[in-house]
Amino acid sequence: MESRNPLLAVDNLSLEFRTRTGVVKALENVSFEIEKGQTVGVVGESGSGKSVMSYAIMGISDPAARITSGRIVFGGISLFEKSGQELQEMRGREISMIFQSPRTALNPIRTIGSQLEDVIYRHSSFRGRQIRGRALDLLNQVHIPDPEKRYHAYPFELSGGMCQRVMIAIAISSNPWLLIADEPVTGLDVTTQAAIMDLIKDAARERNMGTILITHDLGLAAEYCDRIIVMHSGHVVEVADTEHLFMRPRHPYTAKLIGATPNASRDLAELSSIPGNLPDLRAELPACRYSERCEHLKEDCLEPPLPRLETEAGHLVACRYPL
Amino acid sequence: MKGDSLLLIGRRLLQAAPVVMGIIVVTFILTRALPGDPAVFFAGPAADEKSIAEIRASLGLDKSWPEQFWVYLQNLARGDLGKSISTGQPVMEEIATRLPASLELTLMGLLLAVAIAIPLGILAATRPNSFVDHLCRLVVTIGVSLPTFFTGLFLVYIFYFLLGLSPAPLGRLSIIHISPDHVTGFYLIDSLIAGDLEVFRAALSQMILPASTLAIFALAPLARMTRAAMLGVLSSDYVRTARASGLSSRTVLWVYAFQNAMLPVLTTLGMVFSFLLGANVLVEKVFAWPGIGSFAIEALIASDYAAVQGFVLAMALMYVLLNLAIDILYTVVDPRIGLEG
Repeated sequence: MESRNPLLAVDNLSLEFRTRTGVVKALENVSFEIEKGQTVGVVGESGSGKSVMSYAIMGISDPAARITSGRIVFGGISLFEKSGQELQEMRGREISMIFQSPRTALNPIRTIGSQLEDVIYRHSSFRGRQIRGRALDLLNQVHIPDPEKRYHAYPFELSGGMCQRVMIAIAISSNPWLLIADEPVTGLDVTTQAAIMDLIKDAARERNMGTILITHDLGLAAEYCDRIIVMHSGHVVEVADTEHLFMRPRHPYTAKLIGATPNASRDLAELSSIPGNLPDLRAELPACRYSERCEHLKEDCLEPPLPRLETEAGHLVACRYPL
Repeated sequence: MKGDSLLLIGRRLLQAAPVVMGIIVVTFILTRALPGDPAVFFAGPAADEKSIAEIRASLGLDKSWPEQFWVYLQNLARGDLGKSISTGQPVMEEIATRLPASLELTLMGLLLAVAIAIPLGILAATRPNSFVDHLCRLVVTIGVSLPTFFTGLFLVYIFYFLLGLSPAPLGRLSIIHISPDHVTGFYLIDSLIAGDLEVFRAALSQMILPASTLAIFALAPLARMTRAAMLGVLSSDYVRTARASGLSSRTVLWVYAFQNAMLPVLTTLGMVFSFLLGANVLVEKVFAWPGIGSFAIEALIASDYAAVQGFVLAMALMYVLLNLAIDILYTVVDPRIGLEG
């Protein structure tokens, strides 16, 4: 029974922000699933709704955000049916999240040990000295050298990579089922990036933990993810297994994204850029939000509904005329 | 970490020394550069050249400025600020008896302001555009737009003249009460030490109006800063992390948001306190409060230069001590200080 249920199912999720200048339709009919132990990449340029979606899953959306339709089902239970208290207890215990710029993501005037303890105290039955033991154990697990000494360090005394390790320690402290990593290595140097990504991968494998890796780096997603979700201005435009996606992208946007990603076998001169910008999400939008930038635009592309074709098993594309 | 902050506090103390020296020099020069000759003033209208010269010599004013400064320093070291012309008392003694009155009033005003402004600011920040938020905005506007002497007179008019709820605005205690034995100089504390609840109540009822006047003045910057700092902190990355970690709303608000938001509020608090020392001068006048503010006004009117010099020196020293205290508090609260400084 349980094995047939996905770990997380986002089903037709629409979300908008009510702002002074109008309603921003930040997500529209977003659907995807994640299995246990699976690593799923969410890629797309800035403003495509990657972070908004992950905050919605965490239940920490901005107060101005309204979910207008859809469901988020986690472990077979709809999250919207849970009380605020229940959701709060789930966060950090069953679903965890780590963020970009780890140095500002930690409380600047609290030692990393205390911050780790706060979360352990909240989610475990450890008390008193056990908490410290558990915290040190976690710092060891994320390979922080000399954890006894670092325990009393403040975030500003540690490097960005170290801070991200602490963030990971906090996130995995209760062995969650799902980890959302929102641009976890952006802004870190390349060797640190690899180390942090390996750490996340190992932590996920040991715990059979589902992972959502949000990134704008297609190369990174290709290296670490089983499956990739491509987002464009609040729509999921393509979902496929990593190999499939790179071998045969079906959505014009995905193809452009891959064409814009540097790799070893390609000259810099061959890199293409994607024309145009993301549309203004406050305006009336055509069914396909990529239409304005699309080279293969046909007249009926603007007419609703936005199709969701399964071109082959497990390969979904939101385009009427897939490549 | 502990040893570091002690070292830091020591360094801050050392840094304060040249500032104090500067204050002494400036007050000395300022009073000498003021128009008017104290010797003429002392000698009275009927004096001739000779008696003025004698008085000038007795005051030491015939010596050169460096010499006078040396004498002034020596006197200072002995705690001698000279004699007040208008009261005939040593300035040091005047200040020593009046300073506690001013301090008690100022601190009470500040305490009241903090007790109202900080919860108000937090409530306003956690519930944007709610009733509390609008109330906060209203209070801030009132606080910045009303001058203290007006608020003072207005409160006296309402609560003493119209409603008769508070006693006559005539100093720290009405004449039927005897001031408590001097321990701290703060009537509220001294009366409690003496165990005299009736005097405590009387002193408190005298203090409520002037303290409220100061509090209304101090409320505005504090409430505004608390609200702004809380809003900033609540949208910070680390509060988002705390929420994403499922920490309880209470922990997020108090341990993660509030403690960080208090850093700028602390700075504002120091500033507000020094504003209050200035605002005190007028409030003391309105409420016939026997503090150093009213003393300074009288001294200024009477060209009583030793008294003015003593007042300026005392106030400046208090500013320095206050800033020192805030700095030290800051190093205790914010671990990032030390290394950057």
